[in-house]
Amino acid sequence: MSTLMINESKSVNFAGSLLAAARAETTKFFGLRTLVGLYASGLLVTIALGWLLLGASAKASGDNGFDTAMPAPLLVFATLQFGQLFFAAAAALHITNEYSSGSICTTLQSVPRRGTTLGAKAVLLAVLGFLAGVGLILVGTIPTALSAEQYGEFGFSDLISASLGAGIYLGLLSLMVLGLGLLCRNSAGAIVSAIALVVGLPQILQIIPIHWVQTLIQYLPTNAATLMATGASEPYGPEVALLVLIAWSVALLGAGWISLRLRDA
Amino acid sequence: MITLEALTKDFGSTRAVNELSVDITAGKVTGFLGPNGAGKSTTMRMILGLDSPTAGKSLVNGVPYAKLRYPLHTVGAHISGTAGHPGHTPRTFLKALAQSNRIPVRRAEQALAEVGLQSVATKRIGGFSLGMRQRLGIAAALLGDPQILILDEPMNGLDAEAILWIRQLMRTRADAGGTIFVSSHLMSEVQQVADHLILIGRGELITEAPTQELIQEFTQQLITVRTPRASALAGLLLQQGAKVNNAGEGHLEVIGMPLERIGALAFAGGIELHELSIIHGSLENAYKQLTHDTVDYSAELTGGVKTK
Repeated sequence: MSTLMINESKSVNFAGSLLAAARAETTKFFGLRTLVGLYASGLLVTIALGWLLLGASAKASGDNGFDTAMPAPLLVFATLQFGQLFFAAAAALHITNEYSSGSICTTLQSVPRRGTTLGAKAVLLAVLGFLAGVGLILVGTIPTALSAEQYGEFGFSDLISASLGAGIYLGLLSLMVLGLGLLCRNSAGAIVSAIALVVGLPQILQIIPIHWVQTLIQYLPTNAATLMATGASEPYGPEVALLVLIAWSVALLGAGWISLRLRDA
Repeated sequence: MITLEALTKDFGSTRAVNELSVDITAGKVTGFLGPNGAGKSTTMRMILGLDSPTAGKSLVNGVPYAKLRYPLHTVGAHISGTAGHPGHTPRTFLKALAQSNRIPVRRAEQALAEVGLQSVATKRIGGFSLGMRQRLGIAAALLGDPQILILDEPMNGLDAEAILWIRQLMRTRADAGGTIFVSSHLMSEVQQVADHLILIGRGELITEAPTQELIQEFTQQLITVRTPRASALAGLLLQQGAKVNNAGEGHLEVIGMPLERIGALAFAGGIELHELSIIHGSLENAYKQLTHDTVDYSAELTGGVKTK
């Protein structure tokens, strides 16, 4: 039997334990069919929608004389309005699953420092979200461009900004949802509040004809993401859009971190 | 070595654990006993940093658990009902645990073999029986070959063979210098293996002592009486200040009164006796005796005869 104690020496640094914990989180994520399935569905749905619906309808509208030309990468990005829900659900379940099954106790027993636990989950989900976003724009652009034909023509910069935009957005969205999951601790609550944030709020607030509410809508995550990916300048540019997304992530993940630190497991 | 210093936990207005101070030392198996709801799990969760104490503290080898960076090398623990996600396989579950604490991943396979779960290494945990989940939890606890083992009701759901196995496991590791802290609400589960016992009731320490000492101290004067007029005799004995447990049909267990006096009282009262004898006490009885007043949900019979 080992009587050796792993010493709390400074040389064992935070980065090392974060990396170890992130590897464990990766194993857990890919060990669950539900989570892998949600990611696969999200990719499939987004690409299929871009090809079938938006690309084809852009072509149909264009053929009928409407000016709907939109670069193909941005057409794919538009389908993320729906596809993002799969990635958000995966991020929510990655944490709430542990609360519902009681395995959060094992997680915190093995990584008792709450900052490391949270950091590991955040790193994994942000990286997965980013890769999914970039990947699906790069892959999805081909079929969408084919189905939209000349109405989906695009330049290299469109492709880069749309894929980076989607990657950053899905990465940061995953962090926001991780925060919500830590606050709610149950799957239904976390998923519903995530849907409310990215789909519900923009629609509900739209029907309130008050100036500041309309301004607020522009700063919701989905709007900021669109502005970032399309490189628009009104009402604010991509740099501000990125800051808006980061602010949302910091706020929600921060709230989740406080909840993890202060509440009993 | 686990140290509890005035460890206290409130849930709202209920005090689950009240100023518990005790040292759990190396080289022995320490049994942690108390009725359901006595605060055993809460205490263990606080030791593991899962719940934070309202007051006081708990230390593992002098350090708060939550400060350990790779705790599985120092402390292995199994809290019932927490071993893995139902959708994971044992292999995935243990591999992730190993990775998080920089334990070689091959240890996962060894630990599975140690608890006899190799054959189901790729099956999903959701389909496991309670006993299999307990074994998996114990595999997780053993993964980092820790010096300290904390096991919460590990024998729940285990069959006789598995209980024997886990007793041997605890014995072996304690003899090798390990600190073994095992909870149970059944004295019979731990009295054979525990060197030391800590008894709690309603969150408070009742007593702690070496197992042998407790047996000698608390089990000498339990007297068993069989009579067709049990409730009449019970009433008589209660009047005279004895403690009486109704142990079944026409069967009383009397504490706090010598054998001769019970016989004299029965004779004077004209009560027929079929048996009057001193039980060579088991620790089970001492435990009942000690915790009886602290059981929150004990059933009471009319006529002053308490049921167990």
